[in-house]
Amino acid sequence: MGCGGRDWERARELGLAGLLVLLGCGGLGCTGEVDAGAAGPQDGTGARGTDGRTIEVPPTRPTPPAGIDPVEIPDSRIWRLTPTQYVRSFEAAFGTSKLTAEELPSDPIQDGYDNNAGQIFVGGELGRLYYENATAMAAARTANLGAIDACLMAASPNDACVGAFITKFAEPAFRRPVDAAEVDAYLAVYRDVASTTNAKDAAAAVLELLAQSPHFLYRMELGEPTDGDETRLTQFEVASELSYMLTDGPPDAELYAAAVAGELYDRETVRAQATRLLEDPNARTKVGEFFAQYLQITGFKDASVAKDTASFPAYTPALQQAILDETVEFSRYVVFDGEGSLTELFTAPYSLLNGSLANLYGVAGVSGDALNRVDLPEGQARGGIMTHASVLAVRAKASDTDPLHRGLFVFRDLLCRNVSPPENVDATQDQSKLHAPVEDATKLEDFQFFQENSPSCAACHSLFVPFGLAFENFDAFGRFRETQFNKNLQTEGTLTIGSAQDGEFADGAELAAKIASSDMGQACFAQRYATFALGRETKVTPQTLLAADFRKAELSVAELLVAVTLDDVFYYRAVGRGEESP
Amino acid sequence: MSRSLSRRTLLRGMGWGSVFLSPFVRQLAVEAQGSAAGNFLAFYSPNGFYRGAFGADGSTTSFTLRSSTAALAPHQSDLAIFRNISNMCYPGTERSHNCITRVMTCKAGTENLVATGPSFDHVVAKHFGGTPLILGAQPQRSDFTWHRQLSWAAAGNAVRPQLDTKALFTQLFPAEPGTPPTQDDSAAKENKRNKSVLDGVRADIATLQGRLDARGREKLELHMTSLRELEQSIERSEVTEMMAATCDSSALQTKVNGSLPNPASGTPRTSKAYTPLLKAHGELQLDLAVQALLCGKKRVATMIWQECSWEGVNVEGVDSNESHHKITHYASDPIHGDGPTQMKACDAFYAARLKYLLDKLKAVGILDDTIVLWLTEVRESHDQGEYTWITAGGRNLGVKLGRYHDFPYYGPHNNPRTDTRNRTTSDLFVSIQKALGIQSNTFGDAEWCHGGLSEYFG
Repeated sequence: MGCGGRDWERARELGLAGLLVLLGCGGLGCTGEVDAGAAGPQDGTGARGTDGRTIEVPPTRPTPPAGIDPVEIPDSRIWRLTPTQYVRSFEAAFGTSKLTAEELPSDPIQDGYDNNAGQIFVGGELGRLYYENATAMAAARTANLGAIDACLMAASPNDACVGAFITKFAEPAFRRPVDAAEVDAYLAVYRDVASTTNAKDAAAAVLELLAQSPHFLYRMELGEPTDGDETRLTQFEVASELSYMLTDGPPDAELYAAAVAGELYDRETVRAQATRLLEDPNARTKVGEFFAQYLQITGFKDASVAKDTASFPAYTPALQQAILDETVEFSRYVVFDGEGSLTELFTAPYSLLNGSLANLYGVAGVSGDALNRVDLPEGQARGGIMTHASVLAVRAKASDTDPLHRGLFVFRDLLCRNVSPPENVDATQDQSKLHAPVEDATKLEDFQFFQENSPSCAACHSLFVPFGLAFENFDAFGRFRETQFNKNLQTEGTLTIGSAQDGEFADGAELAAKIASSDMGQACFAQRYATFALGRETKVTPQTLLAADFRKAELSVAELLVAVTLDDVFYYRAVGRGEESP
Repeated sequence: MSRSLSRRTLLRGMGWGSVFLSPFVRQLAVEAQGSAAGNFLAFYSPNGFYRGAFGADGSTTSFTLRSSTAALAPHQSDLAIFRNISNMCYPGTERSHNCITRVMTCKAGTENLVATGPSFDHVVAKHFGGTPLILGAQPQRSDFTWHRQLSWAAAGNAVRPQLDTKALFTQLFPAEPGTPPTQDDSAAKENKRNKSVLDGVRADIATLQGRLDARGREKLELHMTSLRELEQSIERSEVTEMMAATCDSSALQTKVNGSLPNPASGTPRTSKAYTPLLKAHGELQLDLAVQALLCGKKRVATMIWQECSWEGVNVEGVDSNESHHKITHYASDPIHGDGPTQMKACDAFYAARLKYLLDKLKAVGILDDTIVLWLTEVRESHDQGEYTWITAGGRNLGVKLGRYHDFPYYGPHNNPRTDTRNRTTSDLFVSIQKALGIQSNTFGDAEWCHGGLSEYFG
């Protein structure tokens, strides 16, 4: 395939070319400006179907014609396996892993997620943990060399025997074939160790080496050799990218065979593989992981320890666990078992509750520890994921609500708007300006007082605090309430984001529903998922074709997961650009 | 000899860790410094901790370590953890790093930054008839700063931590022979084998380097650093074995005289290059402390990991130009950066260092005779209430280990003078000193003590 305009048009029809672009991460300050591109078009530009798609991923990316924003292809990179990926890859290549994912150090959160490729590397305790796991595995695997291959039992196994042994473990470990030079290098290590010890020790040394090799510990996105400034990922790199993106594990036999057969430059094949992988139970796990991180409830237990349980003794560790489980299981249920749409996620009039959660939510007739689908009570403004106790309680204080942080989440993570304090503002608050000097002030009264007394700060806070006040009818534990201090709580407000959904909302549930049905909210969700899936800060382009595709698929979250795998950013990498800013 | 019959394996097979050598070692210590049993080691990390991920969850006997302290899991059965301890034993300094000056004295001073000592380490060391070993890890900023004045010999007389490991070694082991340790054949083979494996990993990294851009190469450089640390760590394990087997300090001497990271090298402490230096130096200081306790040269040691309220580690994986101190200001405020994540990473860094210490003490067989207390001066947001204190070791001294005590807390600003329901840091010190043979119901200011924590013993 050439690079002409016709090809570009065909590619554009096919997939998501031109959808995503990497932008710098500098904040826009206290402007409330929308992240570039998150607003999106209002007309669903880029409508296209599956019929007649151009399926080939050519060696060189087609050049877009004039008038269409070029896609900024991400840099080539190496991406260290996350703890879950490490353990699952280890087990696939070597057998049982002594280490569990939970025993590995957690990674830093960047752009909302803990899998940012730029932030995770091998350092600190990790090297020792890898070493200990590798030595334990090697000792176990070589306890009976004959079980691996009888030829290894010889006093001095020949090169062919040892080479086969190396290939047997290196190929699944590296998730690609190994070449002769690599086999020779490992063979040399084997011979070196065997010269002073014995065959068993030498074999163990090779296994330890493979399990600590960067080819095992990192996912490669380096592409084919090129003299140009862009490269296409190899078949095996595509297979790994697809598999880890959707299941957090290495390619299974079917996907690996497709890579061997050179079928993964065929987008329809990739689509079919992605759809198949979504049936894997690990895909459910990964979707739950995405929502837990997207909603920032992974630290829920951490935050909950500061709760004033004396005022609510029923807030036991078991209930806290159920609160966390509800949201994770609900997200999986909606994506895989329910209608599957963003709308359902944000407006569902049901949830998955057990007895203690039902008590928290004021639902009668539910008992037991298992989570089951239960209709939510009417008249409590509860529906959809934003009214889950996890989302509400994690953004609350010990016994009091926190509309600032609830509102900030809506502003930043549902609308993808930026806000950060001006540099010349002292972060230390004058506490006297935060609380209205009236007895038992509500949060609304506090905020009105703050607006009057701290106008420079309030100009910024007014952008998002009203969104948090919309959820004031849920207390610090996520319980519904209509009044506080015998005062009726006012949760209504106005949404103004330049969309058809602009207008008044009565409460947080209505606000969330409006955002979910807005172009901005949909584009923002697509952007947040793409950032997680691609492990880098990613923003939807001004054309927001990804958001348009998302809308066209009736906001199906599963379709969004597949759509990311069809885009050019999935297959191509820029070369050498990272030299600019080490 | 095959690897499976290495000296390490043989020693382990003989049960040298806790049975074979401990009575001998304890006897050495007792003969050296009086009749009371036990050792005490204060492990200080600066800038507080983030409560939400620190300590444990669960019941007294069935608990799970939280994420920041998860590194201590292999030693869970050696720990006694106390949650919701009030550290407000000195009014007027409730929200400040300068609490470091009084966290081990539990006495208010006449001036803000001067403690009315002595501090706990000196009290215990005096009881044993000696003085404590005061160690530090980090370059010194100033001779007069209060930021590291944790240990007080007497009122107004703070003792500076000693940073020069080499000089300290000479002080503690003046008569030790200077010959390097000898390795037997199996150890040499094991070292060669480990080197072959790690060289192979390095070769793989080298083949990748040429295909990466600057950011990728930087990532692999960090990986290379990790391999170097691992290699040193394996070497140090060999040293530990020799220490345990003979109480011979020559192996440690070789290490001390080796390629020591220079604590005053001027490496910027916000750079990623600083943390490995700090770690290597600090762990070597801990090696020295363990050797001193093991051989009865000292019964009490205080390890000060950097100064409070100033800079701090740039922990692996935290992409921040902020100092450890500064992020404590933002620990609960996501508007100003991901403070909780960064603070938890710092806590995890020091938890891993404590694990290193406990590994050492256990390996040489004196953990059950040594009480270790992890200290810091504030918790997140600079508050003094709702502390979690982690202690380890002391099984042979009657301490009930493998316990997590979650005390009720009666408000962050309640005054323990009038509300004795809150357990205090003074109470914990009272209990530790009882375990070490000091039969007193008070420590520091008596008004803050409630007789100790009976839970420490059962």
